[in-house]
Amino acid sequence: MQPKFILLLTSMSLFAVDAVQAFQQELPALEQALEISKATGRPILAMAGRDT
Amino acid sequence: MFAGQFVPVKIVTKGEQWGDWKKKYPPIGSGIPYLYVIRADGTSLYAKSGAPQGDDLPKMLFTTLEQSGRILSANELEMIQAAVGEAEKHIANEQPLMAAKSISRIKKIGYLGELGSFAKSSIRADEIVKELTDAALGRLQKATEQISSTSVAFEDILEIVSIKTAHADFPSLKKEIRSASKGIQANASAKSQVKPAELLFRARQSAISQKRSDIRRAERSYASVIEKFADSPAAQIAREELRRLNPDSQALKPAASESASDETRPADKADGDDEQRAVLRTWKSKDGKFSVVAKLVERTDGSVKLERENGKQLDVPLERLSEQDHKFLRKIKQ
Repeated sequence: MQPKFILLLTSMSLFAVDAVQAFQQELPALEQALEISKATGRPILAMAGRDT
Repeated sequence: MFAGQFVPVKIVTKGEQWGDWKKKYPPIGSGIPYLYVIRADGTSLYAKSGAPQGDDLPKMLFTTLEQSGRILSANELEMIQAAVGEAEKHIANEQPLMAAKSISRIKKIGYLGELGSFAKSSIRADEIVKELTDAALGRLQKATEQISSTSVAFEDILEIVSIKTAHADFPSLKKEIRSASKGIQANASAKSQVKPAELLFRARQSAISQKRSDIRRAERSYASVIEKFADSPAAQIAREELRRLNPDSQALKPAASESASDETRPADKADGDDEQRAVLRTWKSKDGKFSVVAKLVERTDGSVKLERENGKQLDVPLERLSEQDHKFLRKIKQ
């Protein structure tokens, strides 16, 4: 996760801090995330932005 | 609180993957960051440009979670997957009743047919319940109509009893099953065939298993049908199915079935006696579909004349009579 992503996310809301923290972890690739979502029924929470 | 209920993912806004994603889930507004919530079945619940401010983010997460269906535990998912796999195997083998029993195991998790989750296996489980319900409904209605007609075929009783047992946990069939059961109870001939039908269905269920203990249980149930309901269509079916399961079964030996018949039907004990002609007994058609309680009036080369309890007489060609009826006639002749 690049610093810019984190900054954007933390600026969103302090109340959703664990959702923000979720993005700081090692995340699955998109295809894999979609498969996990399909299999478990959990929705995808996707953040799209620049990676630089 | 939120993290465990979502599958978080980062998408870099360049390249083919982003192009495909944006096309599939067009966002409102433009400019990074884009935030999305996509339900497990692929439905877009939130797709907007910009960072939600203040309470907007947790509110949005709560709202989209509410629309995302039930989040199942790993154990629940495992149970659903196993039940779906087993049910699909039975469906492929054209065993809808067994499929119904398999899928019914997930009743512990939720309402059959509406588990409320968008997980792939859960959606498939709901579909299977719906397919099986529709199929059972048609068969149930047909069998119930037959029972309300004049002659009661054992196959119809067996059909209703089997559906009732296998689909006992299907909420959307409860009303129809209750109505079919009432129909059976209102018909004395139909009612008397419920017990052998239940026993036969139990035998079939056990026979389908690969376990030796279940196979032995099936043999015992088949033998029980043959012994307890010796001259019934159920016994005839039980003999055929037991022969396929274990041709050497003791229950298939003529002595066993005949002595069992004597035990359960005292009226037949005096076979060979002329007085036996005047005794009311159940006569069955060869295919087991029809039965009539009547006494033998006379026998010719090609048919028998029977008299029902109400005094009405009927002629039945010998070739239409069951094996058990032929045995009875042979003894009378001796």
